[in-house]
Amino acid sequence: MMTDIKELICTIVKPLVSYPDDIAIQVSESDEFHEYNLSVHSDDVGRIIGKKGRIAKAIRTIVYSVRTEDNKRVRLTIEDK
Amino acid sequence: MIDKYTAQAPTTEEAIEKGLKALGMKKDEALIDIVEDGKKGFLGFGHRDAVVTVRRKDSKIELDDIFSKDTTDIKIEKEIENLEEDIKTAQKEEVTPLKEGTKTAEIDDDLEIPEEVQKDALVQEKQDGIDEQAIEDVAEYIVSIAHQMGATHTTVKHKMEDHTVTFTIYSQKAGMLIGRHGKVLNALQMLVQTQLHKRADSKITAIVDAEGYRERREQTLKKLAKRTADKVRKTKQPVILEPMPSFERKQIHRYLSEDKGIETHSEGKDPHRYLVVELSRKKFI
Repeated sequence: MMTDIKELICTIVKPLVSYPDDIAIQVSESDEFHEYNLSVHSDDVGRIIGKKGRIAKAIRTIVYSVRTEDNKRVRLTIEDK
Repeated sequence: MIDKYTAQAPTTEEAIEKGLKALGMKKDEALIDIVEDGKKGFLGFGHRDAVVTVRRKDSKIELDDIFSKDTTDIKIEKEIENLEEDIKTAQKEEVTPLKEGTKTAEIDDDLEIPEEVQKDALVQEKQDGIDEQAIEDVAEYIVSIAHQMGATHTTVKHKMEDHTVTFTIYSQKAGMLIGRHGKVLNALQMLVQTQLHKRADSKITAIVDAEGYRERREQTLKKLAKRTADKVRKTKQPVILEPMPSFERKQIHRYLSEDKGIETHSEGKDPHRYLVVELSRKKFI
């Protein structure tokens, strides 16, 4: 079964934020990576990064642990407005 | 229809506004309880969001009433009134009438115990209720992440033991959910811990486990600690271990604390904090 990375990110992030409606993920492709740009409400940025980036690191660990179809790596960027 | 909403925001006013908005109500239609006042903090330390509970005024949910502090007090007062009534009638039946003064004094004595016991029980019940719900939700959170990762047959069971809740994952793809050196499992634990802190009232420590990984890892760490201590004794040189999460470092500190000739301490900053094992300096003094 192919896992949908976008859905996975959404599932992880949703309970962490106060404004779940403002979660937006943009997908783009580069040579080596599937790029996922995650943006959330400006009040929530801190919540998904966490102290010393602890939460961001945990999210990335989970997202990167999933294999993609073409074995390209995944890159998750959290947009800071 | 939702009758109750707990809102969190930097200030009390914002939290109330958010709660009202979420329920689509005006301020005069709602009952507002301030659960926690916000704290500004200093240089980013000690900052705390304000938490308020907004309820519909005509809401008739019994449970909600128990949850709110004010009504709890009213309830207790009512109970006390009832008790007082009971005692009065009981006394009237059993005892020959006493003087007014002595009578009330006796009643007060009798009341002291039930009041405290009841309050404790109610507070405990209230906490357990909220926390139990938070734990259930967090278990569901783990399952949905696992599903999205492709582990479709995953269930999570949880067990509570003095302020520590252990979530055990059962899955056909447990290996993937654990990851190398438990990386994924630790990430899940981190997210779960954050959620529990946010949702639960009392301080609960979360452990996420799968296929007895934590127990296996403990044995591995024990062996590693022993081997490292032996190496240090042989070479008389300090040995630096791989970076580890705090709860794993703690285990190693604990094993080696029994070893008198060896000292341990940690260096570096999380998440790259590592443990150093060296000969005890006390020998040279």
